[in-house]
Amino acid sequence: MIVKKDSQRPRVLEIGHAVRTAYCGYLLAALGAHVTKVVVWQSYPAPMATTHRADQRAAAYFFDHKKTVRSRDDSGDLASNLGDIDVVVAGSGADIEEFLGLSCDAIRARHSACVLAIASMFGESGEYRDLLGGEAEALALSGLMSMIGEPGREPLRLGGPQTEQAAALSLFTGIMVALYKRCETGRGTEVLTSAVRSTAYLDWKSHIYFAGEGKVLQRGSNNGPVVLACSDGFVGFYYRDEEWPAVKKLVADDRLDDAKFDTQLGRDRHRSELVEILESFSRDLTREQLYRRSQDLRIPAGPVLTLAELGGDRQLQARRFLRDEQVDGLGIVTVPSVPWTVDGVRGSA
Amino acid sequence: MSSGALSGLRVVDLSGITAGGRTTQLLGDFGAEVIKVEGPRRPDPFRHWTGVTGESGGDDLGSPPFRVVGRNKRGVAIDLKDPRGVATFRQLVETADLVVENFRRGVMEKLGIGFSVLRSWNARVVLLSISSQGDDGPERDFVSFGGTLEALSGLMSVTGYSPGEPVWTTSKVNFPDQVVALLAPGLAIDAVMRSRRTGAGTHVDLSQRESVVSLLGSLLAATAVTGTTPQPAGATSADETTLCCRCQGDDEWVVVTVGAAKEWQRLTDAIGRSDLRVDPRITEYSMRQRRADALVKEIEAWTARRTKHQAMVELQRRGLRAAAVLRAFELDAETPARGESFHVRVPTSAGTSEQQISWPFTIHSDNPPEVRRRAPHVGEHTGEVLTELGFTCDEVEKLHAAGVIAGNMTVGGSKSAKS
Repeated sequence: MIVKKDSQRPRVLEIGHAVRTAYCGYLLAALGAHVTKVVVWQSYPAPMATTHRADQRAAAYFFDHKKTVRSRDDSGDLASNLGDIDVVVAGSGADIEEFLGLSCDAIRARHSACVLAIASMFGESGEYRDLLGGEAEALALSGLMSMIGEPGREPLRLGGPQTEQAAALSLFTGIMVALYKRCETGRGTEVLTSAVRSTAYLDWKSHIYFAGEGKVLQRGSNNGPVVLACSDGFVGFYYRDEEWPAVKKLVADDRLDDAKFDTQLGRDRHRSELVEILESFSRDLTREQLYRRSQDLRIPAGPVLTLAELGGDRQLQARRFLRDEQVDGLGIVTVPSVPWTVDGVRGSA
Repeated sequence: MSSGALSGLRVVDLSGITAGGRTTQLLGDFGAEVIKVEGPRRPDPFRHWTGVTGESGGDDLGSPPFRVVGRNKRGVAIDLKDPRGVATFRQLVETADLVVENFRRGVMEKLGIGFSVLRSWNARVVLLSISSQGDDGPERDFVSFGGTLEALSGLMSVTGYSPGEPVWTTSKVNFPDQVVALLAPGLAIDAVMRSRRTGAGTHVDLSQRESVVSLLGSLLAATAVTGTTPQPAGATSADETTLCCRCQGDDEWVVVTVGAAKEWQRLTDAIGRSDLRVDPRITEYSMRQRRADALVKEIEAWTARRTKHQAMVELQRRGLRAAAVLRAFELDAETPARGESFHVRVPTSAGTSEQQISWPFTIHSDNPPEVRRRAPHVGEHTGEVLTELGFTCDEVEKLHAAGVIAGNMTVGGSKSAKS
């Protein structure tokens, strides 16, 4: 039932149905690992506990290249075959116990070479462990949510299950660290992360500015780059001080010659007026026109694309990044590939 | 050599600013030996970064974010535009497992150190290239920063207060760089393990834009399934209502998520507003989602009389998903509740120490991550590293006098090297 030892590729047992474990398993499978996913549902594909109901079926592509088994039928078999497993990926220590009937301590004692990799939502210790919540609550407790949005208005969440996926990325890298160490020692170890921990790590600049300089960073676009309205949407216009001469050339508006716009500090102080001038130029352009003209002058700018527009994007098409996949019960679904190539091949060479 | 889990992994770090720098920092935290190579006259711009506060912070360690991404690295200054610099760099590469770069596309080849050259020097070397849009394609040479990638990836189109107000994370967060730096170390380690098995190095090409799109994969797939393009909706999401409510104090908030009818009942009980349950405008889930703004006002009558922590505790006790919206400086005080610290003390050049965020995961072994050294000055370890490579004192001095290398030419307080 579990993929048997047939190569040097790691054999992974992925337990449960959280986004964070599913995405981690997906990344490992893309690198050639043999991933066996254990679910509790009686049917397959099983829905995942995402925050978006339409995602639950659409995200079935996370199951790519995985063998799926049902724990109720096979738990005894799973536990007895753990000797063939290199990595166990789970959403909590409790999940491991529930699915395999073994505690983490018992697995470590019996299978010392096995890497136990756990990504929880709120941590595996302390009062937080038992909190009720999901994506929004993890984002709030991580500190990152307080940095998203505009000053004076409520903090926002990022689109998509970003805290769970941050945990998946952390766990993926943690597993690689553990496997590297195991190459030398022959011994496995335990890798632990959480959605809160991984997301807090993303907001590291807030921590160092507070510790190093006593500054509390506030959310919002109050300096430097601006978002500009165009005739058909918006463009992220990430100009910096060194691009200011190019911005003036692009916009060609005498009002920008005013001395108050000569420095970044001055432009930040007169930000509303600056945006008004820039938008008097950008509103007559499409996003594509502003993107092209900015890039011609080496100004970092990018159109705000909708998800529906990504399919027609030249760059993503040229790199064959998006692919159409047949998903049971849904037909053809457009999904992303993994975001790397190895020697020119997507995923693993 | 460190005692960390990645002990024995040798990394030559050509990266600048965040994505590459944070990648190699994580490798260093877990025990890899990281040698940061900078140009003597064009060091890493992150050393004088004004992007966050508008201030650059003084000397080459004055920039707070650089002090984080530079920790656990040694610094070497070599002019790669000079053939003698390239020859010196070659000796570093010959001893390395991994080279990391995030130059503009084409710069490595222009310097004469593209992957084919690196591999001719060291057949098992891995090159990790982190770039905005990947190594090929019509827009590979376009300039971008994290913010533009949030736009190009679609993230901004699903983040904001409304469809007419897309929001980016700004340079204070720069989300694309941060998530890439979680993925890239794992890819690099995997590639190194393969090269050690096979004896053949590889080139890993990681696109930051694609990385962010891949994190929107389930929404992208849902778009294809439903034919409906997701829109930004404040703190809430498509199938559950997350309400962000103001609490006592300035800019203090609590989030509470209400999906099922049972949760709606619990919430109305908690805030003493059972009358809301029979309000015909919000009896159904979809109605509540459409009227989220009005609901927030009703709930704020209750939350505004409480601190965010009090609100969180009371709502959790009622069986509701709720959390205080913490700010970074508050996370340290939450350590007992979390049961784990997210911070580490790091030495400074002034002889003191400062608190930095630690690591995104922990490993339970005899080889925990640690901070062994602060970020280096430009070329602080040039003499030391070249001496280890076998350069003689005369060779080092000649290169230094010619401006090919720069920084500190001493080893342990005395002049380098073998004579």
